[in-house]
Amino acid sequence: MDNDIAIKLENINKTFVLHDRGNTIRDRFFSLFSGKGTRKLKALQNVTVEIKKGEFFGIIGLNGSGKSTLVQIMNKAIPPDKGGRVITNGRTMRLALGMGFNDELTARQNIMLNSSVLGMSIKEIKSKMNEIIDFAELKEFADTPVKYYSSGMKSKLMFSIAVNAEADIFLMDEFFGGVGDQNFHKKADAIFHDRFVKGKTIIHVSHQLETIRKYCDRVMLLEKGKIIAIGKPDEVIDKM
Amino acid sequence: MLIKISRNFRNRLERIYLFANTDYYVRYYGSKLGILWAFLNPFFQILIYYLVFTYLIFKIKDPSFILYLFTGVITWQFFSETTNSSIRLFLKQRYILQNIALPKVDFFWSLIGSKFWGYLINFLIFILFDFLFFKPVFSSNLLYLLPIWIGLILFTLGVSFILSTLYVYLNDLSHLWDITLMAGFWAVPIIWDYHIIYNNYSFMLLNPVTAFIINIRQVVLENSTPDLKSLFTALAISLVFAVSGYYFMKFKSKKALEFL
Repeated sequence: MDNDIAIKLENINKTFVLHDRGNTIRDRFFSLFSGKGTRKLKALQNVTVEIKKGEFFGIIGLNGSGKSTLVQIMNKAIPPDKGGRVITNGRTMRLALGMGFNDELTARQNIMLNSSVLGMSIKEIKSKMNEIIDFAELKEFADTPVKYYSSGMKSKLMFSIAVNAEADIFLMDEFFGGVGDQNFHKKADAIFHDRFVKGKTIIHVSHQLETIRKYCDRVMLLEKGKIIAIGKPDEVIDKM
Repeated sequence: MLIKISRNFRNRLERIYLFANTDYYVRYYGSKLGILWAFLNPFFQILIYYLVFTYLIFKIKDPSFILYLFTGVITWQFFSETTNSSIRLFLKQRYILQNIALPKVDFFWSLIGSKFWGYLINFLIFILFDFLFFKPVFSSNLLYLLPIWIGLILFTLGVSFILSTLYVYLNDLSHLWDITLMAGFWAVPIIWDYHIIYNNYSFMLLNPVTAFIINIRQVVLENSTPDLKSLFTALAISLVFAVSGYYFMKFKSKKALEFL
């Protein structure tokens, strides 16, 4: 395949089989044999798209349009239906704000674990530990278990960790924008562009059309699992 | 290229270590006695069985029965605790699996690492206990522990692969496995005399856990070479479980995140 392509999706369909459950023991017992109560839901239909290296690619659509399913397929967390092909060129990582903390561990321990998952060595993590904690503005709470954190503190911590992540393709699921308060937001915005975006491929899923308009090179609009349009942000957003 | 591969490999090892460490830490975190529980739990279990069986049921007069129990209980505990936690492994790690495609097998290595570390510490306590109250004789036979432990790890891994993957499709498995372990505790010579097996029920040696527990006792308590025939059979069965379990997990766990 072409070397300048980061992600190639060919003919992606995704059907979820939902098991609806009866509430009584009798309902459940009978559905065990009859196979009743299963429904098929087509989350994605015939999605084919190529994303180039270094591109900032936006995905928009209403709730339930298949955005997150598509991201999970790109990430190989779930497989597409038979016949679909997913080719990724480089290490792929999804960033979402709710992700990845063990509540029993302190910020320090979580930084250790998460950064390791994100590809850093223990030595590198140790040398960057204070920088990460300072950036997240959590100096006094570095040794507090994360379960006592507010959601704002958690998202600031996640952002600070993710900035150091080593991956070629980032799938941002409502990740960017809306982290922390105004001050933090400004700081995050700056570092995000200096250190993060350069040379990396970014797939950006968001409802915030302003950030999409501002940063994306190309945008894809999904509706009920189908591609409605792909193109320049302004043109595609108008079709929504 | 080579540097990059070795860097990735090192990162992988470090990650496995960090997850194992976390598993160990979180289990005892927050309790007042902390890590001490890792020893107190098997200690009391052994004490209870010892008291019940020496005073209430069998009226065994041999105090070394406690060593027999000790080896059986801690080895069984390693197997049962590991397989039990493996069932919900994908569920527990889903927050990571959702975000980055890591080799799933790494989570199994971490789990085994953490549990086997606990087992080794208990084994060390057993040795100390043995020296303190009995007069054990050890020899180079102890080296047989190595293949026995490797076999035990392989079998435990194999069962864990299968359980964790089946759980994706069958949530009832956690309850079924509870019952299986309950029955297993009595089907394995933890409390009763293993010589019964050699006399009448040699088919039971086909259960690798049974074979390994017997082998461990032959080495540690009797200072003899283990029954090599049962050891090799158990090793072969364990290897088959580990390899087939691995491929089963690899191919059938793809939909894990959809269903869990």
